[in-house]
Amino acid sequence: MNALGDAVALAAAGLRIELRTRAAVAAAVTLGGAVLFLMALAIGPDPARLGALAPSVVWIALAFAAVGISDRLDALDRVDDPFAGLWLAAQDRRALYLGKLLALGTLLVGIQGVLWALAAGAVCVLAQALVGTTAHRALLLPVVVLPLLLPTLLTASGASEALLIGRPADALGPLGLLAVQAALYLGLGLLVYEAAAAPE
Amino acid sequence: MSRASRLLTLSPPAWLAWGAVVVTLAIGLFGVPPDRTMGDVFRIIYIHVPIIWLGFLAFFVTMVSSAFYLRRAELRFDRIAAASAEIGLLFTGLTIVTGSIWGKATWGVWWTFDPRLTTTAILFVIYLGYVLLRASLVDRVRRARISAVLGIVGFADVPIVHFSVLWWSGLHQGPTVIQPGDPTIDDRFLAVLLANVVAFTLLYLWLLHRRVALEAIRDRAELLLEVGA
Repeated sequence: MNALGDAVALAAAGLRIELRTRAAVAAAVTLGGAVLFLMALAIGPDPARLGALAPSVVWIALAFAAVGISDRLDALDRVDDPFAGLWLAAQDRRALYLGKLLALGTLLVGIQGVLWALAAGAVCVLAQALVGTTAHRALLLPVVVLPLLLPTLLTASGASEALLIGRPADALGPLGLLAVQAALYLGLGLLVYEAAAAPE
Repeated sequence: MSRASRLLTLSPPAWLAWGAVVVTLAIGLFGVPPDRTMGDVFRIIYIHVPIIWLGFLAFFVTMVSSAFYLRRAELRFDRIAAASAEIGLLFTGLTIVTGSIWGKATWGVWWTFDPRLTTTAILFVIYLGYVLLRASLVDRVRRARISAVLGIVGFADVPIVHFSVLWWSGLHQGPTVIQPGDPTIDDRFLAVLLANVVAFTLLYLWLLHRRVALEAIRDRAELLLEVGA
């Protein structure tokens, strides 16, 4: 089986488990909802202020949701360590990265859009590999993911703002930038994933 | 040993680096006339601009050394990458501080969510994550490998910082030296600025040399502890 076939098989397995448990999406919706609620409380009841900040607040919530989904999917690989078997079996280890990205991207794309799903997925899967074996995993994951995602977050927020105020032409620039960022993170991920994820 | 006598024991490269920084900064402070519009406050460029360029250079060195480590698996490349990232972090932090002082004098605020300021702060946090991630990994080889990956990926933010003033509108001025066409800065100011860049580059090289030596000692100590255990 070629690398793409391996990646699709791996993604299908992850998605099948998610379809049965719905744990990742439930965790993400809860986390994203909590962030939205807390941010809205912090901003205050003024509708004009809430309206102005809405795109940024929504994208912050979506960023946390992406981290939540990615963490949940990765947790599946840590129970009984099936990842070690996959690592040994894979002919091309980039397939593991692509498979994880495909599974995460499929879940993210449903709620967050293609370009964001690709950029966020590419960063999250790589970051999971980086912090996976550290002692302070839960703390380090957002520390690594969120700064890397912030430029993408700002760009996505700019595009949403342009669309919300009814100027779709102004959204084209940020969307192009978003595509560049997604391609950059995907390329970097494919390049360095094997070094990041290699078991000890 | 007193502080004064400790100064005398500094190596010639240290004297050269610190001496160059003191002299070029003094020229920037006292040797050039004030700017026509900003007055004396513009002199902060003689520290603000060199340290962010050196910050970029430091992160570039981290990226290249990280790539070399992944290719050759020699720990000396990891030492260079780690040392350079720490110095880059220091320079980026100082850039934010000096920029903040400049911002207060020219814009009236210490901080604003301007694209250049925000992306620079993001760069700072990315490499703070790099340092934290390194600190949380015990095994030397794994630490080197994981850090190398983040050292390469983290560099993606550097062009974003540089181009942020072109991609998004904000308060921060656009590029004046590294841009298509001639620099939009007076020749005298530019000459002193470039002299400061050279001086801070010497300081960076000296700091890098010292930090790499320290990291090598640390690696040897860790190895001895492993052998002892």
